[in-house]
Amino acid sequence: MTSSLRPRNIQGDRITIQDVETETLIYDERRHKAWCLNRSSASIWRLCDGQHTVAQIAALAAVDLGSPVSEDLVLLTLEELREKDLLEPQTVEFLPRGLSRRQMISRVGLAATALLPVIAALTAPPASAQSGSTGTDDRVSGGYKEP
Amino acid sequence: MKPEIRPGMQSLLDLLHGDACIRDVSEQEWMRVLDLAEQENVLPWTVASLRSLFHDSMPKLADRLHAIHRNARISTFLWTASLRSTLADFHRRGIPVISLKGPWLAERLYGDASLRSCCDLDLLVHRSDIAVAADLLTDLGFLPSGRPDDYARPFHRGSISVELHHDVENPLAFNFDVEAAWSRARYAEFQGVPARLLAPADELLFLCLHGTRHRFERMSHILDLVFAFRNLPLPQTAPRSRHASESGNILALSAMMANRLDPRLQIPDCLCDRLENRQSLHQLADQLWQERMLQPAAVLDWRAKHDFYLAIETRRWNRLLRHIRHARILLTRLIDADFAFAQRFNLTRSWQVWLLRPLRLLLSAVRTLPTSP
Repeated sequence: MTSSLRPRNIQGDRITIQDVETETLIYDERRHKAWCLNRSSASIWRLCDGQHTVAQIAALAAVDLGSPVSEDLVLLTLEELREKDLLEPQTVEFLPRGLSRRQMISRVGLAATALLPVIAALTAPPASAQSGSTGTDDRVSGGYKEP
Repeated sequence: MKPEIRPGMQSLLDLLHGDACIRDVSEQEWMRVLDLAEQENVLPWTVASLRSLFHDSMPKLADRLHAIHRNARISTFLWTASLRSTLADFHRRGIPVISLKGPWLAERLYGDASLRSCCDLDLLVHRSDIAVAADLLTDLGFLPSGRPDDYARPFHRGSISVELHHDVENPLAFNFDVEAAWSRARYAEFQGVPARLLAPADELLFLCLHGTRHRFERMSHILDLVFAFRNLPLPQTAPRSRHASESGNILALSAMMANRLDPRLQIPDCLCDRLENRQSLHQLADQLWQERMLQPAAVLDWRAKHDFYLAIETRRWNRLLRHIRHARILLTRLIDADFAFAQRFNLTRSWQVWLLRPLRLLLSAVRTLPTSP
């Protein structure tokens, strides 16, 4: 059922995308969320153009990644992307009914472990971590406060 | 005995001067340099300089440089996208806004936003717009955080912090004449989004003021000034006015600090009206530079900031005015010490802090009374 879907990724001028080495960074201005996608999930995300079916995405991603990509792996990735609102709203879940994520991962198999989707939320490092934490932040130790 | 320079400092300075040779320094020493650069908030610039010299005989260093570079690019992406999106929303609401520092400044001064650390976004709006701007930030999911002060209100959304300013410095400490700066502000675009920037000369004064307010406590303040003095013109102020003297001394001291980091940078002669003022500022710059070389910056309280502003003043009349400002702050503003004192009694509200203030001042006065021999 799900394999006939043609998922579409979020697009538009309120979506900012940048590649950093093998990862892809996405900022969604509408939700003020930022994500870091590993290579496999970015490849699958880019192929979600509303034209390709899951089977076609698997075939094209395999070419892009230089490694076999199963439909199960694509479905697992699509589910991750859907949960993160990185796909246009879909009415159905991508995982086959009654199948948990863990079961899906075991179906994908050990051989594809390196291709498992990793989609991490981006957060700015705290000021102290960036600056060496001398504790001289203006807000904390600074001048005088309005009563 | 001659005091010892901080570990890694000489190599860091060589690197920032462009005089470093990677083979002359051990991998362990470069690791110390990176630790120091992180403390001094110049890590991305240091890493970029090191990467340009790098050769592959130091694998641990290579891994660390790679990781820092990657993290800097990711962090920059987040700050840049957040700034772009926030400026776009200000533009849509028709609220004029000036972006201070942040990724936009880094892009223009350093040539690449990932070469300068960013820990918040500073947005300047007209004082009359502060309420609508605060409402907009709230609509965008930002929450007020911390205590507002006389010129800025902090907000945060997750890990993104925004400071909403209606002045660039506390008007009780320095009169920047922000309304005049607004009239000179230029229109520009940040990644396709219209916004405004301070006029170049105002931006230079602002960066000098920023460094001064922080007592040049980190190398990042001084590195900003090196780029600022290389790229931005000096402000034109009415000669011999009080404001010219006050801002002139701040500009002169900032130029002197920048010159200590980059000796090729010339200090403009026009910045000091009298030779003796110039000499006293040079002594102050030497003292500050020496402090940077020997130890990490100490935490600055409001009194230390006031004393530093006082040290910069060379005119007697300006010093007197600064004492008056000091007294005004002391009488009319709660300071960190007031909040800390109230905290001992688990009281945090402003009115509670105000009520306890006389007690704190009394205790403080008793403690400072001279003891009999």
